[in-house]
Amino acid sequence: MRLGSARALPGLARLAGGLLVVFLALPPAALILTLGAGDFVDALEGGMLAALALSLVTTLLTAALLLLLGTPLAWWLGRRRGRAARAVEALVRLPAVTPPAVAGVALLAAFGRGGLFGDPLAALGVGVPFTPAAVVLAQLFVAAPFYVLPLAEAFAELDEDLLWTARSLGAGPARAFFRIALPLCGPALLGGLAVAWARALGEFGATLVFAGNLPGVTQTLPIGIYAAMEGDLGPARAMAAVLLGVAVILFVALRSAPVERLVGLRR
Amino acid sequence: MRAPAPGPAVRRGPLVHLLLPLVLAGCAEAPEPVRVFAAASLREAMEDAAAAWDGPVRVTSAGSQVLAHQIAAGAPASVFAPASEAHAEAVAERLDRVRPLACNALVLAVAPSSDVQRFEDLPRASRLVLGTPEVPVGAYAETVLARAAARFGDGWRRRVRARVVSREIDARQVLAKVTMGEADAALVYRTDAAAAGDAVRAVPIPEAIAVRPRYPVAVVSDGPAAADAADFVRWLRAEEGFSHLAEHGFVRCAAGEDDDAAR
Repeated sequence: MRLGSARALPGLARLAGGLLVVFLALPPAALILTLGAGDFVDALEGGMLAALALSLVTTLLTAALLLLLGTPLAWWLGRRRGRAARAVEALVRLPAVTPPAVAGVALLAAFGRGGLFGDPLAALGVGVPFTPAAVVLAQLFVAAPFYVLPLAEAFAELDEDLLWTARSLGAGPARAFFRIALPLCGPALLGGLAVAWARALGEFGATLVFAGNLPGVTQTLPIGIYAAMEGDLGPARAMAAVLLGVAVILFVALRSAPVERLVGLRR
Repeated sequence: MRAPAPGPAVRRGPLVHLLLPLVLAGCAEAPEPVRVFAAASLREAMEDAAAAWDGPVRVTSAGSQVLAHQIAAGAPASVFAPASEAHAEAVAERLDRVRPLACNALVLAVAPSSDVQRFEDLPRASRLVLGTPEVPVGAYAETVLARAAARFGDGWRRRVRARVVSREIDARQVLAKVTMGEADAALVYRTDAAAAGDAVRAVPIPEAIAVRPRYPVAVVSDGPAAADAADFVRWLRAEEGFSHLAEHGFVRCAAGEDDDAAR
């Protein structure tokens, strides 16, 4: 028996862990077991597909923005130790501890028509609230810490010598990053991206306040669920089951062979 | 002679001393409060009335639909006062006799700078916010728009629909979008618009298409403090209790008025 393997867990510890598994599994299981086919029909008639499509498109954009903007930020945070880096890290952490509705109010205060940048945005002919762009901004705001911070930590633990070796063998900084740093930090990148994406997918409070609720325009699946709950609970539960399913597919897909090959985890 | 061994009560001394006052307070004569579940739009009016009544009353307010769900699930409510009769009917089996409490009105709340002067100008608004059709304020708005379409034509309604930017999930959220300057028009309760003061301008809806939201009230069967709850409801519907609702703009429903609950 290997020390530290799962089998080394004493019975009591295994029981404790198992208890949590049961507790976490029961609500989603109950949600799915109590559903009838009629609930799905009602949900479809209630505009579930439009809400699902909007959720998929907006979270895909959010994930793309996180990769494009969040990866360089994580690299900088991971390689710097100064006061500035620590201040920025605290700033990036902030949305994770901010209640989502408060995040929505803050986004309105910044980008709303009556907000700080309302007038310059209006001069450009841009109104952000009540648009799909507002949905993406709300998701980006709340999800960013879950991608950037774990990745920054992984970059910080990277073996400096490996990077220098690559550079001394003639690799440019970009090549060293893509061939050495990225594959070594791949698990952190994919794990962070999965959690951030899931957070964006489930986003509700900030979106409702900042983007509002209009089917086909700003009504994402979580907001559709809440709106449906004002009426009958059945369709709302069917939509919730679909949302869970999408999240599961997302987690599995992000650890699939093609994706791992993409970030260099597999050849 | 040996001293008697200390009993368990003595050994647990500190804990008992800490808990005893709490236990005794629970047994004291303080009467059980009347628990009123009131529609979000009734909150301040009901809190004022509760403060004026000679006895303890706790007011819980939320969307009528949420409260109805909670009462159906057995929440300890003594009195239910939703914003539409449909929500009282939904939990009728848990209620004693449902009686009318007050009437409200819907108005068009516009931003002070808006060039919407009359209700007919509604298509001129650039961003209109309504409640979702599932909450009373949104259902009443649908009734108004349907009646307005019969009067001003389907084209008018289509142009209005094209201005809708959001369907909010309770009456207060609808109004908030205008007071925050994000929307420039919303269909809200007259009482809510009045409470917003100068932040919005209330444009009346023509009498012929107006709706009259009716707020019923009922004692919950087997609810806590049932006798006091019945007294409170009687007082609330009589002169003195109702004056607190009237201060917030609620009016008595005219006899024989038809129910405008749009469900």
